[in-house]
Amino acid sequence: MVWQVLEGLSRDSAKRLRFVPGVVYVDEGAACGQSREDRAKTLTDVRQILQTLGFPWHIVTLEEVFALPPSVLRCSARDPVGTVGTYKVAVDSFLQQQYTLAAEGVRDSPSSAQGEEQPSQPRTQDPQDPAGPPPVAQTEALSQLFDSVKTLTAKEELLQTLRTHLILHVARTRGYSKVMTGDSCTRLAIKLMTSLALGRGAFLAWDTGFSDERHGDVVVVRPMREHTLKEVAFYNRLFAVPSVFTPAIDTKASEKASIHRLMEGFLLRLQARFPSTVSTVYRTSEKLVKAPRDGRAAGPRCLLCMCSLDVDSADSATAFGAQTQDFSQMPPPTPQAEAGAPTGPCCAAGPGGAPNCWQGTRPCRREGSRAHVIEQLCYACRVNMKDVPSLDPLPPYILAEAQLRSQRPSVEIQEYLVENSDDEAPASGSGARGPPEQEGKKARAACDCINKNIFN
Amino acid sequence: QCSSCHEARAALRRPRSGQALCGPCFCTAFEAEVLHTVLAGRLLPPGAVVAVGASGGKDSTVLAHVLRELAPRLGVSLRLVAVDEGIGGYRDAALAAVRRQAARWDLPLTVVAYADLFGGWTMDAVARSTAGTGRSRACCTFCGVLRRRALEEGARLVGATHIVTGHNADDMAETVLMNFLRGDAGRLARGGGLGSRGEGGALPRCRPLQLASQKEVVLYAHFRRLDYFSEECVYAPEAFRGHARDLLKLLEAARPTAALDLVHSAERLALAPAARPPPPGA
Repeated sequence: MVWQVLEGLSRDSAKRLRFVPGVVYVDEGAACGQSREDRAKTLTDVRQILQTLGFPWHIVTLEEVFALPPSVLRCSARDPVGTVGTYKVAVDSFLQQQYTLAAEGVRDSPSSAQGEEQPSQPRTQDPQDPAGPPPVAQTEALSQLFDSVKTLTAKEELLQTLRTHLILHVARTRGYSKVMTGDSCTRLAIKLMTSLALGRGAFLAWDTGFSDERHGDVVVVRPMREHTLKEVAFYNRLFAVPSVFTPAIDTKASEKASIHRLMEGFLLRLQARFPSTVSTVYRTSEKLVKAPRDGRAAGPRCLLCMCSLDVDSADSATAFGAQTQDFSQMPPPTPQAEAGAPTGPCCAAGPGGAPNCWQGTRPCRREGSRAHVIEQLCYACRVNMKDVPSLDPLPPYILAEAQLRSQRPSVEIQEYLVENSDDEAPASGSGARGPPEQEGKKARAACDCINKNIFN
Repeated sequence: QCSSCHEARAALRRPRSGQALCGPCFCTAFEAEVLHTVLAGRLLPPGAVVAVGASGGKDSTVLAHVLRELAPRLGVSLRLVAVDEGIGGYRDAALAAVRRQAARWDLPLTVVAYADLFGGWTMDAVARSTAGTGRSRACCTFCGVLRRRALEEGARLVGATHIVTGHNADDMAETVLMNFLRGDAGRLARGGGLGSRGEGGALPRCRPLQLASQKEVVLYAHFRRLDYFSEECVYAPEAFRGHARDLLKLLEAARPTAALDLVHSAERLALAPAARPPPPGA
């Protein structure tokens, strides 16, 4: 895709592209269990390629998620502040991986495009912070996080989530308004079926459509979606496009290890027998619309994937309802789930939650906080979180934002609150504000004062 | 130890929650869940005459048994409707099972045959005529459409107001996978709910077992010692649904809640209006 952009921008192409691109590479080696030496080697290769492009490039490590502000999880409607004032478009390059498997042909691994911040040459735009390899503590924290996740499926999903947040942050802080990804038609068909199996039926249009504007200011677009993997492979070969191979999180895993792997294997095998499978699935994806099924207004958004929540505790004759009820206890079931031993009334995990749960004792708060986080997730993210035994290893921005949201005044009193930008928690952020803890404290204090007045 | 009554020894673990229960408590819970689905979804109002699509297989057997238990509470009356597709060496044995059930439960049974409804066409004849064209796999698709029509006719014959079928969560999961793989946007747009209200004069139909997993249906039939016909249809190996079924088995191994996750996805699909089929009569 990067090569295509290069072509499109060159003077002699018939239809000239009119944007200024940058390239982002995210180094995920820590999550994939790569050693420091391997990561350094990969980065050298990547840097070589990036330098020949002539675009501004940014290499970031996945470890940087530990420094993200909670504002990255908020949908922002404003245009990001551009440093130079020109219209910029970010190009996120997924470098093609060339390795041949007997029947499969060439694979395009989406997880390969990551790297670390390297400002060796002065650039005309933003000054880049010098950074060597990431601090060992952060690398270990990341490994710890991924090791604690029980299934490969949940690991893949978590990796995708963190990567998305990181790229979003890079785009926002550098003034890019769009992020282009290199997903091919084949990849998107697999992604559609995988999302379906994960419970993301409500969000398929965003996950696999051409443009994904759920983040507000930064739009994710997928310009390669009409090309099949085979075409991409041929293109790369014919035009000698250089690429770098790095292992992904599921490299060398068995085919049955994760839903992603299973779906990929299944679709490619079916495609061999019914050659129109991938294009059929892809065409069906084009018929999906970005609207809630019954036309209701958009409500709160998922903490992690930022789509409108698709769970409704009121309607219990649904797949969600069937899993949250318990009919085998004769007396009404006591709330079990995360709390384990009975914790008393302040932790009752009803749909509304207990707004003052944080006033409870220490152990109660921790278990209550897991319930608070889970409440703010969509169906699919909740199922993933079941495989994450403890939320503590997660990067702080996630937990901070969860805490913030759970303390926001409830909807019923919202209309009576006078909008005051000093007291209100910031609705959007470009990441250039003060440290996240202070933000959280200020908002908490504001909510505290309101709560005292209203929830006697 | 059974975690519900705490008296009897646990006889099984529920596939979804891993909870240990004794036979009777499990059956009670299963029935309570079906009752809840029917009530919460407002599927069968009091006074309804319900035609139960009975094939003799495990799903429709369990469905009929559970509804029979719940009928007094719901205030509905039941009629069994069986469809004879004319598949030699299979349907006759299945129908024998249905007749035994009707006698045991003292429920009226009506049998409708494709040959009578569709001008002499039996499924064997359909299969023969599609075999040469290289589309022999398509005969199951025809059967699905014809059976639904036949069920409609049978229900009218007995004066029913609602139709119920025994589709379980695994069936619904396979259906949504299959519809995506075949690009059937029309069916995708129609499916996903607990049933349909009945368009164009058709009777409303629903699937009370839709949220129950297949394993639990089998367990229920085991503990209630229900007599059902367990062989597969002669044409089933060629059906496209087989691919979806294999996929679902694999998915469930990687993630036990896969079937319900797919049902949840199906409930929330949003398709463009143009993808929906034109209303009948347009």
